Amino acid sequence: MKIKHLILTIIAFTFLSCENYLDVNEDPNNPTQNTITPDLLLAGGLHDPYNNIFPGSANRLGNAFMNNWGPNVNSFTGGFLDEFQLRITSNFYDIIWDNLYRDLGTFQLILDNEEEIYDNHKAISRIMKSFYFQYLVDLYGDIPYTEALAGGENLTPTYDDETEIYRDLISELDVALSEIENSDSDDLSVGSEDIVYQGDLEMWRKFANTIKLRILLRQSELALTDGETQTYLNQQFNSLEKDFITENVVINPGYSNAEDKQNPYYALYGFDTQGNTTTSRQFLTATDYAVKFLKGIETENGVQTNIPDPRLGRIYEPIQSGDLAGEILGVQQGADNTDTPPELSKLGDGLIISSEQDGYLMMASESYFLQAEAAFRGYIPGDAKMLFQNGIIESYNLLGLTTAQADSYINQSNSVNLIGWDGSQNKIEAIMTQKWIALNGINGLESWIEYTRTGFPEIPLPITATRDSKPNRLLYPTSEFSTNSANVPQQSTEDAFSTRIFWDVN
Amino acid sequence: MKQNVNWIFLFLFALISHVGFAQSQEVTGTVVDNSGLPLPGVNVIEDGTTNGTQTDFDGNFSIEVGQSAVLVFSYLGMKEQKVTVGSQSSIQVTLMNATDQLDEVVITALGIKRKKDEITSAYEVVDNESIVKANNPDVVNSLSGKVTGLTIKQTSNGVTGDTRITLRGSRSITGNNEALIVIDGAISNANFLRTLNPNSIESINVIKGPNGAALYGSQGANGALIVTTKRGKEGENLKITLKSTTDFTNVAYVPERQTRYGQGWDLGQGFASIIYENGGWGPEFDGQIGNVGLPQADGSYIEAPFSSRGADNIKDFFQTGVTQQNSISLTSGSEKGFIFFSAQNENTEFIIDRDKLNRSTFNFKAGRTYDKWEVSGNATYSYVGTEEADSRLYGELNQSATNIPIERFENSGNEGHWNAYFLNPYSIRDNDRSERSNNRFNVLGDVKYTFNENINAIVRSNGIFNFANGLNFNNGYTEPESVVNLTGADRSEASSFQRFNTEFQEYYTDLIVNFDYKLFEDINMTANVGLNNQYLKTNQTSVGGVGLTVPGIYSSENLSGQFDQATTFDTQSTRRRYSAFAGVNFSYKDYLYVNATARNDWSSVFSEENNSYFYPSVGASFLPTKAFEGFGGDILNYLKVTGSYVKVGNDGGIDPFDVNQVVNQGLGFPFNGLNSYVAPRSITDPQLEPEFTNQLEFGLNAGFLKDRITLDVAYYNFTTDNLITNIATSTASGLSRSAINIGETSGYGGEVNLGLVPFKTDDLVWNLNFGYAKNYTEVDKVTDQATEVSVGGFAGAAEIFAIEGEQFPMLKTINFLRDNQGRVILDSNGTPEQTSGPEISGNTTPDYTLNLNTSFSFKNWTLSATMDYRTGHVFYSDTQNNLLWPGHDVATAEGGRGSFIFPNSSIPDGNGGFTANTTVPSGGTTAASYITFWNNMRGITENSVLDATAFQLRELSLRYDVTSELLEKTFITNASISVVGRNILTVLPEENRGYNDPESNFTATGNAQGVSTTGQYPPTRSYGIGLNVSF
Repeated sequence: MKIKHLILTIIAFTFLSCENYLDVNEDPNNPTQNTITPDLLLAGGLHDPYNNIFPGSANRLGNAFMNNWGPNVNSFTGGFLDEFQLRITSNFYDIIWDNLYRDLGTFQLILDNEEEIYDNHKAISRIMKSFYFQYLVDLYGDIPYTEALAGGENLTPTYDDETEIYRDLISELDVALSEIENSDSDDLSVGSEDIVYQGDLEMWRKFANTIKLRILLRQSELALTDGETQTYLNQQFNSLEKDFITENVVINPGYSNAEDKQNPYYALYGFDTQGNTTTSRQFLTATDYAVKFLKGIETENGVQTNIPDPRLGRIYEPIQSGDLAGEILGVQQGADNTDTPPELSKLGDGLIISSEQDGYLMMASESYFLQAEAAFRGYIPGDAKMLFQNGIIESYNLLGLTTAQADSYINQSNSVNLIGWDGSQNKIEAIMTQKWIALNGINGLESWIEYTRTGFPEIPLPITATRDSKPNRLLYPTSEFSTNSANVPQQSTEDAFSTRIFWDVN
Repeated sequence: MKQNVNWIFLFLFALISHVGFAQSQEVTGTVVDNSGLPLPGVNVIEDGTTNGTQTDFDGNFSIEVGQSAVLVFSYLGMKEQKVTVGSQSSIQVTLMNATDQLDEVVITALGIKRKKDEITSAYEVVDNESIVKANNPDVVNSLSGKVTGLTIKQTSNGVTGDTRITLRGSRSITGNNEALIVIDGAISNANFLRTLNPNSIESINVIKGPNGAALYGSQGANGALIVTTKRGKEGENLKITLKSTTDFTNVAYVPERQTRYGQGWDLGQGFASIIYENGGWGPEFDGQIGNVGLPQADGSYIEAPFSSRGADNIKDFFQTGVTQQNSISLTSGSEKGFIFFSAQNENTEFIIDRDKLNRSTFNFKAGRTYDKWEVSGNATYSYVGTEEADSRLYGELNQSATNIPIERFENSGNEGHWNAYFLNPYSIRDNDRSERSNNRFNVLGDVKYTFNENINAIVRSNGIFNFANGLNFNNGYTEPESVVNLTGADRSEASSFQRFNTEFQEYYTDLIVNFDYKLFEDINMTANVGLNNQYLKTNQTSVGGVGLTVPGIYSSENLSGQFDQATTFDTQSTRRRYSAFAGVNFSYKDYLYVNATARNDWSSVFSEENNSYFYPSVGASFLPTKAFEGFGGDILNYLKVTGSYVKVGNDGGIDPFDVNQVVNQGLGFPFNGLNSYVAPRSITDPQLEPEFTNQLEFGLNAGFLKDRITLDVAYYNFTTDNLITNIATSTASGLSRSAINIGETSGYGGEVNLGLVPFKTDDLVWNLNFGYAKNYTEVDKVTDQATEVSVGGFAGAAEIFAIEGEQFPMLKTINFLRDNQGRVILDSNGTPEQTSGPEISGNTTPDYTLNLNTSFSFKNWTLSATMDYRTGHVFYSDTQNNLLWPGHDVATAEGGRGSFIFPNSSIPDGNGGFTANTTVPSGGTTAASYITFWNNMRGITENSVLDATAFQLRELSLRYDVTSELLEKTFITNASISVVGRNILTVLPEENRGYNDPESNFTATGNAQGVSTTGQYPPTRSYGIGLNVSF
């Protein structure tokens, strides 16, 4: 029965002989999240949230709201329509929530690693996770936190109280600080995968202190009316190590002039690898308000400092050709091209530097302005005026201007209301105004959040605004309503204007 | 001709009758055709002997046969029939036309031939004639409108285009809903089917539900197209068929645009004529001759009158395409074997100049019987080469006012384009292109061994090898400073290229043992048990980068920049599956059939604990017309009622390695030797299990008045559970999407087919076949936490959702905010208020589909047509949306340009209510405010949700068969010539001013159907002629 033999042989070969026949499901192309180690995740973890949020949407939103950026109405139609009309919906900049949360997953993966040798990596991850979670609270209030970032383990995290999260961010930063303090030779040292400080844990300690300072100060206005917060802040400031950053905190994995390798800010608002102007660069222009303010001439809301600020020509580019060459001109937010100059200024050389330029996480100027405010409010010792002026100097330096130029400006402006320490009735307003200038085009989001907290600087709304004030917050994104409806608090457009983040008492 | 044949048979009979007879039982009878007319000259032979006779002029015969004889009736052009004589002394035989043969014996799952009576679920067979009658070079597209319940959706038009094949709508939310393709018994794929020579297809049996495909397991859950290719027929001498067709293709329609205002935009002084604007926001046409566009290379301007060149002026961009097909096939067959060879070449020049396709397909098939062995083999090679421009040129083309003399800008480049903000479509055509070449080999072998009359075994093995390579390139563009200074716009693009190789191997092996036993006097049993093995392997490498040093050299060495991370990669994947299955069929006499199947699959894509799954099916059919003598009388000649239940497990939508939770390289990494990974954004539950569909189906097939009227009705309902759904997750989890076992859908539907033969005489035959199909799918559950999930689309603007309690799929857009009377609420500026997020705007699958196939033959002329009608659904047209803001849409010019009272609008009355608006004007007082108004309207994407109703005359053909008298003295046996038209008539609702074909979609396959984009070429229609000669 040869036939039977043949068939049996076929059966055996085809189906039965391969005991491990189905064992072909191990991915030859990528490692898995169970096998990857924190040292191979840190650089990506640090870079993604910066890359995906900071230069683009966060900055764009803040600079639109803070009257720093306008659209080139001479060439484009419909730019910043929602931002200027203040049409806040759950779609409005929902990418900030969506991208930020997704990008923080890598930090969580590092923190969840059970091996003990990665404490240094974990400390860095904890610091940056807190850094970004503060923004999430500042923009949205109650958010998923304790159950967040659990990946497939929990697809519908519940929401935590905003104040509780804020308190926990301080605790997490304390854990990170102790991890750094207790770092020893058992812990794997951090190397080039730390694309912020190249493994210099001392610098991370200072950065963590400064983040704590920012988190605490955010609650300072609330503390004026809320005794419990006041007590909490006093305790925290007491134990806060007063050793803050004095240099800009920057991120740079090795940006270069190659596709996907450029500094993302430069690649977005500057030039592509071939040197061609990007669409965003053609689109974004100076605003009439910011230009006039920095020129020292009368703005639409009647502010006039009479002090020309040399930072103007670094933040915005003088018009390159034509009859208006050399001038710096902006568009009034919400205006059409009827009364707009035929040429408008683009982002300037102080911001658009090169493909290799650093990415900005936190500015030294910001650190000084925070210290100035904390000193002024009596939370920390120090000379508030000097700290304030140091902030201005750092801002000048960052934009490529000299300390001498800064000193000259400080001398001229010192007695001028809003921009000088001595001349300003309201020191907080002066700090916020200088912070607004220092963060123009760099971190508009921080500028808007500080405005929400303090109400300063008082800048006009776009002429097309359909509301009489800026929103106090963003609305929970569409994605939460469609995927986490059982947990996300219900909101309407009105809530963006009528409800506040817990620290906002203005 | 008939006489000649008779003479031959008489001669044969004379030979045969010499043999003499040893037995003695006389049988007499009459043979008629299916309309009851007597058939003279029918060959009547006692099976297994040389004993035979022929019917006389009145169809009568008389023959002496042995005991337990079986008579075989055969007649040219008719289906052979065997009749067991038994104790009958008089036999009445009805022979069916050979073309009806497919209705009688159907090739079903695993290549098993089944009698029509035995089949317990809905199917429809399309024969070769129907496939090729309109010269369609694409087998898949040729099925459009021909099978009730089958949707062939041409999701994009192009040299090859994209097609989505579904049966009975969608069941899975994010999994696979596409029908399975089986070619000659082995699982294949639609891409391979599309490369086959349409002339080599014998028939396609469309199994509409999961029933017949239960034996194919997982992949058959969505129905199946069982394709059978031609083979030589028994008793056929060498026959050669030549076929040549030529078709001409034109744009069917383009979006209609306003013809009142010309090129221009607001420049602070009203609607200004600006000669380099992409907008139609210029002044009213005045006919004055003026310059158009940017200056040409020599500094001159193209001049044209400032008047509309018609609402469809962009049609000038397109040319008449030509498709030529030449094919030859050879067949020969005998009792012992057959041979079939076909070769076809197709050359297509598309409506876009330089876009073309070249296809060559060779198919060789042969088989032979040796004693108890039957061996056959089938080898197919196909080459498809295409060259195409990037279809984004269509979106750029749409940025044109109607005064633009389009074709005069062919050689102007981007520098001299008619607008300064978009690229010249002619430049994109020449500089942003792709080339593909695809070599496919398909080798199929089939060995059957018959142990005895009760048992046989088949081993079938199929290998598909697909080697594709391609090149995408963009020659780049640098905007001259003069243009930047003039307009502030810079359209520069970096040069780039991508070159890739894809290797795809698929092996399929079946081992089946068939049993056929007569259990009792009236009960027969056939059964099969089998094993199946599938193995898929892919390898892909791709290299690409930005910045070409020397223009036109597309190689990595010519890169001035680095490799582009997004286009430089290499991946491999492997998928394996094996299965064991069994099926059993019982028949009682010739009128009651019961069948059952069972199958277990083991699939490599699941984790070890979840990789085995089992599913069964049962079915029954009953034929009262055969069971009860005289049932139905003279009116009802055939009745079959069927019922079936099937459960099918499905691993569709899950790819190899998905359950591993892999980490990905961080964006932009590696930087300077530093590589890093990031947490996954999208995962598949490691504990994922297969999803299941359960379907219950009832059917009825009836024939009236000797099949002059036929009625086929099928009703089904289904439920699914454990759907593998790729849900959007709360991003707060750190993930965007996760594939998990959740989600349930249910639904019902059915098909009704009514066949009519209003006329049938010797010279004149008119056939009509009406079809009605309906499918309704509802989402019963999405997840425990969420009541909806996005399936895809433009996020936040026009997106397809699965929503609990709603029909699936459902379109959501940004809608007008309406008061309780349905009036659009306006704000104080007259701007419509909009919903704060996307809201439901309609379902995107038709309520029902009607199709009609008809053919009318008079003597040698045959006129046939295929048409269909779909309604009750909507789609989103991004093309329309993109005409709003530049002022090209007809609506932007209706009633002149200025403020107007928004129709059916209301304003807040201050007390929480609304009053009808008669006072607040919309559009503002300036040109700029009017443009802004339409910009806002564009954001209310409900404006671009259109009724997707469509009537389409898919095919119309007129064929003339050269009369046999003319061919008598030649070596030619058959010749015909035909004139055909495809898609020559489309009727759309008024609101769809030709914006998009409602079938077009932003994704080729996927379940997010109902969103069309601007990058999709307008639909085309074709006219052609065909010549067919056999000898």
